[in-house]
Amino acid sequence: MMGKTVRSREGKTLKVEIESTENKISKIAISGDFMAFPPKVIEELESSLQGKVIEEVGATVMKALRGAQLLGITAEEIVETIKEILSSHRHAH
Amino acid sequence: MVKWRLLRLEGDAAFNMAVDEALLMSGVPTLRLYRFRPSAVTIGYFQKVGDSVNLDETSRLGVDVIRRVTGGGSVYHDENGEITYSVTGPLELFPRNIQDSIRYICEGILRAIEAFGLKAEFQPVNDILLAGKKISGSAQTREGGNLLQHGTLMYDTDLETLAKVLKAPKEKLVDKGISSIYERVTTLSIELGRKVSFDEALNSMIEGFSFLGDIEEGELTEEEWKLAKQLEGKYRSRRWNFRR
Repeated sequence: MMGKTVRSREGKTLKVEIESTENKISKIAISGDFMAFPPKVIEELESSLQGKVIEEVGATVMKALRGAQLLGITAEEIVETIKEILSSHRHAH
Repeated sequence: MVKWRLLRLEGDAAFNMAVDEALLMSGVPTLRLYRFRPSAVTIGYFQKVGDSVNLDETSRLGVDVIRRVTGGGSVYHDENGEITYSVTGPLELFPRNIQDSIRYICEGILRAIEAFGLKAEFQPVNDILLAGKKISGSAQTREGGNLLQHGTLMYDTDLETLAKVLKAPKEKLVDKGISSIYERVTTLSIELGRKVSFDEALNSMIEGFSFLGDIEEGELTEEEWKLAKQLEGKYRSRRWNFRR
């Protein structure tokens, strides 16, 4: 499990934890003290990211969050954090 | 003018959260003012329990830890020093924009604090600061055309216990360059230099939230009771509270 916790521009905590196999996300957990409307969108986002590689992260997150609203964090911050974890893992190998 | 029902219904953490969720589902315009008896910690819907709560301390102190249906952060609800509000109703009663609606409902807290002769300020996303320190936090969710927002007012919270049971994220503390709980959190009693009672806090909240419309004391409907009883099981389950 690789993880990263960041403080969002709006002052909230965003934590992303990833398990990956062959550079693909096999499991991801997004947590923190933000708000999301509707709430189920975060679980849907986690499922839709399964099996994705770093190049697919941006489009997958944007698509999963379409029509949803986040408060305290942004979709871009989620994308950045996931990419940072995946790329640091890639470089480590 | 919209008629609001005032509920003074309180119990333990699971009961309290079940009632708030039942109110969200029913959508009857309601202002609920309550305590957590006994004291408890609630965490936001998206939080990891192990990251936000010091579980060794909560189990040592016998403090319940319950996940809310709303997002936001972890809260220590001191039975003898914190009053919780919840506002529920159909979405039409509130600003459509989420941030605007949070601010709108927080007006009740700002006015409650003002009733003590103190001037607090709303700090986006969901905090209220007094003398630059947090005195109140709120969280909101929307479901089925209805809105639920609940939050706190710390009138005499034991901040030592708060600091023990809640884990403040390191990133937050480092960012704010702050070490002591007294530098970032306050209560009405601290700011006024005297002990504020629950009744005083309650009355100031009723006065503060009267901006919503006509508020009259009422009861849960039979349907809402049934719903709350059904939902209570979820809030007592490890599966829900420890799901993240």
